[in-house]
Amino acid sequence: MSSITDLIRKEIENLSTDATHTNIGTIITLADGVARVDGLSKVMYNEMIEFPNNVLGIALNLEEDSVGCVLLGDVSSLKEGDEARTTGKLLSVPVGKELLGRVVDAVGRPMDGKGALNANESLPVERIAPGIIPRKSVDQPLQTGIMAVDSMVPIGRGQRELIIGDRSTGKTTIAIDTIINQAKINKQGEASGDANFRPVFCVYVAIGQKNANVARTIKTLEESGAMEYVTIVSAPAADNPANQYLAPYSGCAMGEWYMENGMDALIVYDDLSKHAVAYRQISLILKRPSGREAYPGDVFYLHSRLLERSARLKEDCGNGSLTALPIIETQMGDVAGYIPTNVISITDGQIFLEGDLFNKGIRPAVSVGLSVSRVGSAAQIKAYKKVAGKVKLELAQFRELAAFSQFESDLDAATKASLDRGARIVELFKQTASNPIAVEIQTVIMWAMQNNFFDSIDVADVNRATQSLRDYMETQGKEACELIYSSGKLEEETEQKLRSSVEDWKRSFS
Amino acid sequence: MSSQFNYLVQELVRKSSNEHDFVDKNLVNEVLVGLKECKPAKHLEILKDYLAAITKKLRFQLVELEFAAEPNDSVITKLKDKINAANTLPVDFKYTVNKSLIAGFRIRLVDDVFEDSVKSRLSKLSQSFTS
Repeated sequence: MSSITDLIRKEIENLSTDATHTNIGTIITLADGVARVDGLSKVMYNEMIEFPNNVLGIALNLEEDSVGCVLLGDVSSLKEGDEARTTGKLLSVPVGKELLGRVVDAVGRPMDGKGALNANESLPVERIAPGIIPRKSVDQPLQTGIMAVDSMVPIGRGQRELIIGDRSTGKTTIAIDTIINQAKINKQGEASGDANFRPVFCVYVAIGQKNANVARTIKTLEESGAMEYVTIVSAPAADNPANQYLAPYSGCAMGEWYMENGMDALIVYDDLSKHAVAYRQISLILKRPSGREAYPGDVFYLHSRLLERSARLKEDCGNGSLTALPIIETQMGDVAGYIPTNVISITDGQIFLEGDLFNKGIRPAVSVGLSVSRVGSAAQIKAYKKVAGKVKLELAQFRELAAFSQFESDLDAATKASLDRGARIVELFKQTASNPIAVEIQTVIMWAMQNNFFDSIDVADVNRATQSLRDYMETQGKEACELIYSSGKLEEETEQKLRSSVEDWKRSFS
Repeated sequence: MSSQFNYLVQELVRKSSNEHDFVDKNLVNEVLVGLKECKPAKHLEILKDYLAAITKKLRFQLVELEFAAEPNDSVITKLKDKINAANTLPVDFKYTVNKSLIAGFRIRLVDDVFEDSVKSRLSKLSQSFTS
């Protein structure tokens, strides 16, 4: 009782009794979640504006006679003539580990019914990206657990790798599997008691998605035990465009907190095409001049300022990182669209998913020719680099030869060998959803492929053989796997152990 | 305001203001009569822009004073003197009683509001508990 009264007394004592100075304005028009306000002559760009009934807005258009504000929250209680006032604050969201396992909206309010967040810190939604000086080259791997990605388009901590493809080609699945793999690695690392282990915390931003899809994602993450390392920021399709516009920046601020506090984080923006559409909607209502495809002129800046906030920091700046996996949806496989080309040029590479491959049952449907990772190979562990170095080239050669040789009956031995190898690699890379493979197991599988252990197996049986080898190595071949995991290298001694284990498996596999 | 009429409207506003740059009712009347007589093209649009510009200018020369209770003359005089000293342009004063302030006053000059009232202090206190 006394502590409560003390608390109130303290607040009263600390309260300033000076006259307040505020800058006010009046709503002159109100439509589609955007208010045009007369007055507010001292408002700052991106400043939070307070409207009656605790409705907040952000000043986005500073014009000569009025201010255009996007409104957050329930706008039905507002009307023309209502007063709006400046707050002197930029929009901030709660940050910290208290957000792990939670689902929040674009302004950081919990929407999962699990009670208040109890976060002690907050960060502004819009922040300036780290400059050149505190940055460091990407040199630590971020394992996705997807063989086709980790071997051909490896991702490093602090990288921005775009996932691009038509609708229903498995873009979200790649992102979710990556999150699941981080949780798996985190649990393994925490159980090992390794003091140098660096967990990766994840933020998943759902922009303009159906609520059912978001619910399905949450369910997948919960079932795989990954939710305790994830924060979900949701601005569904039913939400107003202002929230959809803000959600990625809010999620980024949450991810930046980990980076700035010396931790590693992964952020997925699902997806930035819908983000651009929401921004276009706001810009058109604000009567900003429109350009190509009716997008405003600063649509490039919309995404560049967001993705530039992902970085790997130097040791003296905390050694943290924020890896970004933005997602872009293409129309009919057209990567030359306006928004896709913008984001391709901003990111450090892209994973292109092909609809044709997906429909043929090659999943994940990673296109070898169009996918690239510009910095990730520097982050691959040595053992994996040794066995996966040639695979992208082999697969690319296979695709080319397969196209040319389909009407050819008489093939030379070298071409035939290339085609056989390629067909087996394609089968090897087939992987089901929510089933990430640890890097040491991936190394073993790739090593077995490079050392011709799969050559005598029928192409149709390669996928089954891969699963069998995986099961064998997880149980009986543990010793070799642990050596690869701990050293990160494929030394002679390790390779001998590996050979004996794989030979044992080969004898048992039928 | 469209740039097409911008110059014209600014000229009309200048003609509506006296030597102290204060909008004068008689001068506004003269401008309106003049417009009616010559009836320029897009007369209605010009009138609308003129109205917006005059409203804006009038707001700059009006200070609204709100008190929780009827103020005495000495308080009003003191406030007037301070505001006039701080302002380079002459201004009109409008007084109202707003009981919702509980105690204290609120001054509005264009879109700046200076407030020292019990209502604003209570609102600050409530914000400190909820934020």
